Amino acid sequence: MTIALVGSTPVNVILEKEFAAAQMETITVKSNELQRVSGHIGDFRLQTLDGERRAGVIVVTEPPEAKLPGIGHALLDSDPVSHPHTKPVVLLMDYEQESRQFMTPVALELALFLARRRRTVFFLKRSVKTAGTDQERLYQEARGAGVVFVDYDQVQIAETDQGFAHVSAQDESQSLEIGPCSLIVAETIHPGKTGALADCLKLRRDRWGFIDEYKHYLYPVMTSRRGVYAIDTLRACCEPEYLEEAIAAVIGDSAEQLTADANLLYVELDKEKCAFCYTCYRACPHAALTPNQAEAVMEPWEEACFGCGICVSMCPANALQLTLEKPAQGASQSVQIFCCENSGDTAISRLQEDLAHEGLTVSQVSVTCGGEITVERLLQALRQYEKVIAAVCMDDACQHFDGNRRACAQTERAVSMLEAAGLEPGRIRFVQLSQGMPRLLHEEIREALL
Amino acid sequence: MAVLIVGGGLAGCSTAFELVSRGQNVVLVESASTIGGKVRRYGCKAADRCLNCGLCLVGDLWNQVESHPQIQLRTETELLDVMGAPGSFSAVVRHADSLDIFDGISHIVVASGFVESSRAAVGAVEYSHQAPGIITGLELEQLMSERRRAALWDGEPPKSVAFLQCFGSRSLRDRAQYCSRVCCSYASRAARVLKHYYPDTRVVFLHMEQQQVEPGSYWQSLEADGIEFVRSRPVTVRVGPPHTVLYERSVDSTIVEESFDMVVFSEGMYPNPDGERLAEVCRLSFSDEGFLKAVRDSSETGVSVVGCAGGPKRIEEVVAEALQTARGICGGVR
Amino acid sequence: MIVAEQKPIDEILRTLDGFKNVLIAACGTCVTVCMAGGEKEALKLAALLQMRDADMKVSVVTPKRQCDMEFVEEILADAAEHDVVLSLGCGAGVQFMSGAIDNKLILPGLNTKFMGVTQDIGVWAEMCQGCGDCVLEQTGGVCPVTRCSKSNFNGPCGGSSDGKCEIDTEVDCGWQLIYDRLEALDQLQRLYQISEPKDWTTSRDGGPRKVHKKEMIL
Repeated sequence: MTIALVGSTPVNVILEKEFAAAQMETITVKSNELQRVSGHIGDFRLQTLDGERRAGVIVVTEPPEAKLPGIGHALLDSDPVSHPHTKPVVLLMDYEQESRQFMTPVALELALFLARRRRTVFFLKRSVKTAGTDQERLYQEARGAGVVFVDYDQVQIAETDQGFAHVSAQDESQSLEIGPCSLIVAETIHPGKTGALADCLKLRRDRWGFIDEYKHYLYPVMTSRRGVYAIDTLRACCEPEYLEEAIAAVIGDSAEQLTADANLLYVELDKEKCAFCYTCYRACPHAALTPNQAEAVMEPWEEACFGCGICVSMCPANALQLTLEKPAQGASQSVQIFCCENSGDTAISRLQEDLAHEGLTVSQVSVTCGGEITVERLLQALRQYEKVIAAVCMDDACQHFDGNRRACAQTERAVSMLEAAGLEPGRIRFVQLSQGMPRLLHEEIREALL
Repeated sequence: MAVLIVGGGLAGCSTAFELVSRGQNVVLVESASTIGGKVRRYGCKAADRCLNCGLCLVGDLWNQVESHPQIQLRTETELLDVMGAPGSFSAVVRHADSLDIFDGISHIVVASGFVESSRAAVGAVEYSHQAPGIITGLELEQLMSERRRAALWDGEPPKSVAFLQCFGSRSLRDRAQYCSRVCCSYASRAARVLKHYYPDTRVVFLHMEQQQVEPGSYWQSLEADGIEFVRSRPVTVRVGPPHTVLYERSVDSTIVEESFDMVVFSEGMYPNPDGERLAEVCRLSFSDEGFLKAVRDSSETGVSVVGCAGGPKRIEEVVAEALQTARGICGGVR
Repeated sequence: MIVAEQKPIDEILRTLDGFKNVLIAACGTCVTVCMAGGEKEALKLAALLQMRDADMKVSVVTPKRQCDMEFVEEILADAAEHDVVLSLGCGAGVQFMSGAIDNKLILPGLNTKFMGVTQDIGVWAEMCQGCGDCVLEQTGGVCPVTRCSKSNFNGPCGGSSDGKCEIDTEVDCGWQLIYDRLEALDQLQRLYQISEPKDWTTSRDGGPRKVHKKEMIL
């Protein structure tokens, strides 16, 4: 099986070695050479300047950009040791951007190194992040070695005549002037080239613009697209534990995905109906559809599909259909509830006892994702039931990224259609919740039934 | 052949489920009367949006473990001894007064979890745990799991809440010289939820440092929400109502006395005292912080440590570790 | 493609008042892509109608297009079984169907808007008004008839602000776009070309138009 590493970093060497030990061949593609990617896990085709390369799995190793913040670079001392040892050293963290967790051990080691060489070291920070293994001890050691930790609210940097730095720091009650000194500043982290890569690979980005692998259900290296992994190689350089975990996850997950039994839940397309409008291609959060130019229709990939149903709900030609649909469970005269697997479903199962106790029943339709809920389905449900509830995930919690907001939009349309038809709009209720809020759903159900 | 899992919390149950999904048999022993550990009592900490605490990874895990035919679940049961060699252990367990032996154990997974620092803290902040309005982080979680649309819990909202961070962690006196990794995350999210439901309630966060919860300016956004942050070390809590917190403000080294309706101790994670026995029985060692550590690779020893038994971890980290451990046991690639 | 928008629901319902037996004819081409009259929209309307009145008989058909005879012929039988046809085709489709299904009222379900392009999922913008005598060569590919609110031909009116038209800050000034485009292409000299006044008879002003492709007609 071939793994394509996208991005060239020193970490690639380690990855190649580890993957080779797991009988996986690696190829490397530089990020600026990658033009287009098509296919799915097991069969990715990477169009590069050198032609087409093929791989079973893709690992993005291109690191985010570490930029020095807006301080004149001349002021930043990359080799404070060589300076006359009378000049103090200022290590400035959290300037312009809260410094990342993984930078702490690097900064602390450096501070300790300098302090042991009898330099006066000031560690300026808003907060020192010691949540990692051994980091607390490193921090105590640094304090013990005489590193002065200073909490600041504001900081100003100026240049002295001889090209050293002068640092002024203040908090609510005191101010501190240090200078002339050698200045080392923690970089700020930005998406950099990973932004364009994400677009090329059709990967979702998080709210800060990085390739999204921060969400808990993507931890540690998964992205929105099956078979494409993202390793934060900047972090990997500073946290070997993370790199180990990431490598194991890539190997373990890709092996399992490639040998898994056939995906039972995916989407099928009716070629006759398809208008080739590209709506599903754009809307799919998992890049599971590919245009078939020869037949001028879209083609879903079973291997890449998560069965979230967003494309089904969005397709204006009604050309897409899920291969599985769970039947409604529970008998009720009056209320049907559409529950998404990640939230409503689990919440309602935690309520079963209470509902039974109160003699309340609802008809429950489980959907993989709220994105599957359509106006038509809600209206059809209202032909049989008094009230319909759509229970989907909270913002940022949807495991298919947009499904909950799609469900919200569909529900709003259904409600406005009811209003325009002179029917009672309150018959459709929309609630966003998580598994950990069963009481909220309980309230909604009770209200709907009574 | 079966895998023995010691501990039915998040780590133990996740590992159990991953193992049976891969065709293994599992014997799961749990010392309490139900599985679920601490996580079963946690609540959702989303305010206007999900904050990725990882709780949703649990899903239907508890039911799945309780009902799975390939999982032999033994509650109120402890592991007493392990005999035999890696690959074919015999485990002796005790339930009430009777002993039982499980032969044919191929692998042992120690997932005994952690204890809250209030239970184990030595010379901790003086307070009385019995007073209403004085609660621990775990108790706050439980309260929040009952949240509904208009209110977090029944009754009047508190007018002021103080979060005391780093309770029992990062302290030489408490013999816990490490950061418990999760308290900044869970407490700040809880504070956010509180402020979201009760915007008029004064929320004060008494903290040492501020760990990374999210990339971006997370802590500044909480300040913008109206949560007050004070860098300090609380000294004492005098039980009210209202309760008085006596603390030292780091910024100017003054001692401040303030009253609050509710005081939340954000407890850290302490090693499970059962760890002593388990280390001996399963031939494990200890990390510097006192958590369990495997001496050699589990492929040689047949013993793995999963979850917070090995040190403070976030929910998604525990779940990922459980998955990876299960893969390793089933002979996955690597 | 042709971009249309579904009529307000209450208007559609009013026109269907009194009919118990409705055929909703969606259209599988332009109005599917602009999400106004495709099968999905037809199904939503059908569901609403049936929710309002369980006795109403509602059927949905989706001919590939409503502007070519063979596609319309496919639904003639369905039309015969219903009292009225609600067409979700563009204006051309509704009229063509009216001609082909001469014994049934064909009601329009859409307001046909313009010839336009897709800018994003759910967003379409007007590009062409079919003036019949294209001048895009002079203006770098930006149409002065359509993209300028006043259809000015000789330059901007001077009412724009920060590149936005004075009628609406969301609307780009067409002439700003023309200028920027020609400048980027280094083709500003085209603006100095003198042209004859436009012959508007090639557009709507000349009456309903027809196109004959001589070599295809015997």
